[in-house]
Amino acid sequence: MKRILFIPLLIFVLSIEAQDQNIKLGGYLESKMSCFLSEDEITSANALFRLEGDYDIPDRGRVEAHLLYYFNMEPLDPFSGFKEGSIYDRIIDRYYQETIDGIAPVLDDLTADERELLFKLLEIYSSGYFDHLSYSSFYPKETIVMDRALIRLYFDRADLTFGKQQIAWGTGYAFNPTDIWNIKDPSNPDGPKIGVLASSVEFFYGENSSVNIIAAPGSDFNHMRYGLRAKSSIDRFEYSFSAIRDRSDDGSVLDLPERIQVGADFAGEIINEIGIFGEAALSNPRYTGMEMSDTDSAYVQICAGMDYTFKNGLYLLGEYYYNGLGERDNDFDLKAFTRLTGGLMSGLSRNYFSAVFMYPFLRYYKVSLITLANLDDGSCVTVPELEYSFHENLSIRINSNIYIGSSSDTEYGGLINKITFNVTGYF
Amino acid sequence: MKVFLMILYLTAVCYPFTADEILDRNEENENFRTSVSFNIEEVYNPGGSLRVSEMKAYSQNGDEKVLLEYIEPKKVKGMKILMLNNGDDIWFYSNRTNRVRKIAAHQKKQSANNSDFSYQDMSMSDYRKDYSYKLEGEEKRSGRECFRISFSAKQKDAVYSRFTLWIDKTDYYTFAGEFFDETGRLWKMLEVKNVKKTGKYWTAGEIEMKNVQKNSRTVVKTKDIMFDIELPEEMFTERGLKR
Repeated sequence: MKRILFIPLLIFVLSIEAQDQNIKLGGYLESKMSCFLSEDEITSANALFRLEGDYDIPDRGRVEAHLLYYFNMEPLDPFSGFKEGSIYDRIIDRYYQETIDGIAPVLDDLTADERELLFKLLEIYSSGYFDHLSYSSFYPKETIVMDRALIRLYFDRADLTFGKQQIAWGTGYAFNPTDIWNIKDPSNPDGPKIGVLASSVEFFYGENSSVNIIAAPGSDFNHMRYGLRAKSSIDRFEYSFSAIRDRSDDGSVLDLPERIQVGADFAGEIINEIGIFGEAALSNPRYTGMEMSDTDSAYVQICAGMDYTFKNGLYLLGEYYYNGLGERDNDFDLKAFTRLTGGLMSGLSRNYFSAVFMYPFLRYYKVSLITLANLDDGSCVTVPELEYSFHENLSIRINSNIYIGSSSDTEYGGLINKITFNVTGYF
Repeated sequence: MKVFLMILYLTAVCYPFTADEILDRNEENENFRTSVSFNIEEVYNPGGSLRVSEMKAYSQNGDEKVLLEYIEPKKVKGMKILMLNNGDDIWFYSNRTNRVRKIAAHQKKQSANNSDFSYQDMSMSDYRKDYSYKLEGEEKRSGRECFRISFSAKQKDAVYSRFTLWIDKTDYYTFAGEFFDETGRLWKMLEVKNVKKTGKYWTAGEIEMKNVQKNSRTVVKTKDIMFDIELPEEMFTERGLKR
């Protein structure tokens, strides 16, 4: 059904571009194939088509619609990426065990039809659970998502934006503790992020100062998210302060608490042109059925980093992340897992370090190495990549996710190594 | 951008004699209030392959404020670069992520969109502050009478250890340049071609930067340029980048 609607829509938008020069169309097609380096020799293939349509109404506003169409051939077992006996394996086992234990007492009293209905509901709940993962690769086989669908109105001193939009807060590279809106995968910081449905007003003053107020809708007033960010600059530094009230329907599905968060970020440069950046967020969660928590449950998340480009083009970046919500003793459970996938934190543990090496050569080649290390359990994921710009609008990438660490009790050691081949064409 | 747009606008009458006077005159060539130009960038690689980009450039108060918008290739379409304070401050906007990011000084030395121009070449306005310079004499270059002014880096970490500019003796526009790397080897050669008058101002039809070490070259062709038209002030702000 989705395809039936999608193709005429595509033809329609392509045909209207020629009629109005204020309409701009573009996008890309990305095709990739991954091979998991395990005994099962599992492979997966994904195709992503992105259509970007922008309509400018000069001086008055703008309409943007960006559509993502995914086609995925994933392993039948969505947990194929985990090693047997890994923490993820144990977390999932525990989740199923708890679910079965919960329903076991009532199973005997149900009829066959009622049992079938119950299992169907469990399946729906389960798939809903994975649909809410912020950066899960476990998409259904075919998915159409509106990444951006917004209307922006321009006023003298402010822009109003309604609809699904990208909200880019914070200055960190792999980690953005002050940004609750578009959650990042720290092992793929440049990867795509799905927009958030919200209403936003941004007031501008001076050359580069602004105040941004955001309200993201929920099923009721209690499940709305609000945020405020004031941004400005001084000398060679940009900085901002933010405040957020976070309680969403997604959070409810994952049983995440309501929280108030205040934060600040900066980016600039110090002696010898070295770039520095950092973010800090203080969160105070309120758990279901409880009043606002005392300071014991408040937590801090901080990231701070530096980067530099040498004359020969070698780019280096290092970034430290402290996650006050992470586990102290590496005893990861489902709650920690849902906090991670729900976007409350960027890792299961407390201390992380991310390093990026990037070197362009022969003009159209680039090698890079991104490493994300859990400093508490000693595990890490390393992503070496070679990119070749085959043409202005065609690029080829081959990369590998290499997980290092104990497979039974570390965050990254329990994942299976894989190699991915990726071709992207822009239009 | 300076190298693109430093390109020469002139109302000269008499010959100045010191390097400062010549450079003052050279900078006076850019006294337009605003400009909007459409440019095509061709990058010729050693293997003979060619890559083409198209961009629109808006500037205000000479080159004090410049906004560049890529139109082609599709991969970078909609990407914008804002340069303020004569290129001292550079912001980069990606429309795919809706993120505005200030480029740190170390990134200014890198190639802009795989061309032979660096971001610093495009905003090379501080050269009098960062380099010591002297008038070395007058000489003929490609049939034009020019002043030859040489520049030496004051700091060790400057992009070029030294460079030489040839400034047209009649119209005071930068006619050619040679740029040397930190070891003193010739690195890049600049050449300006097809200079013609557009309204009150002289403009270059082509600017070529040749990387003699890599045997590649980049040619920026100005296809269409307009001066002193009304541009909204907010175009040169972070808000303008997102529009």
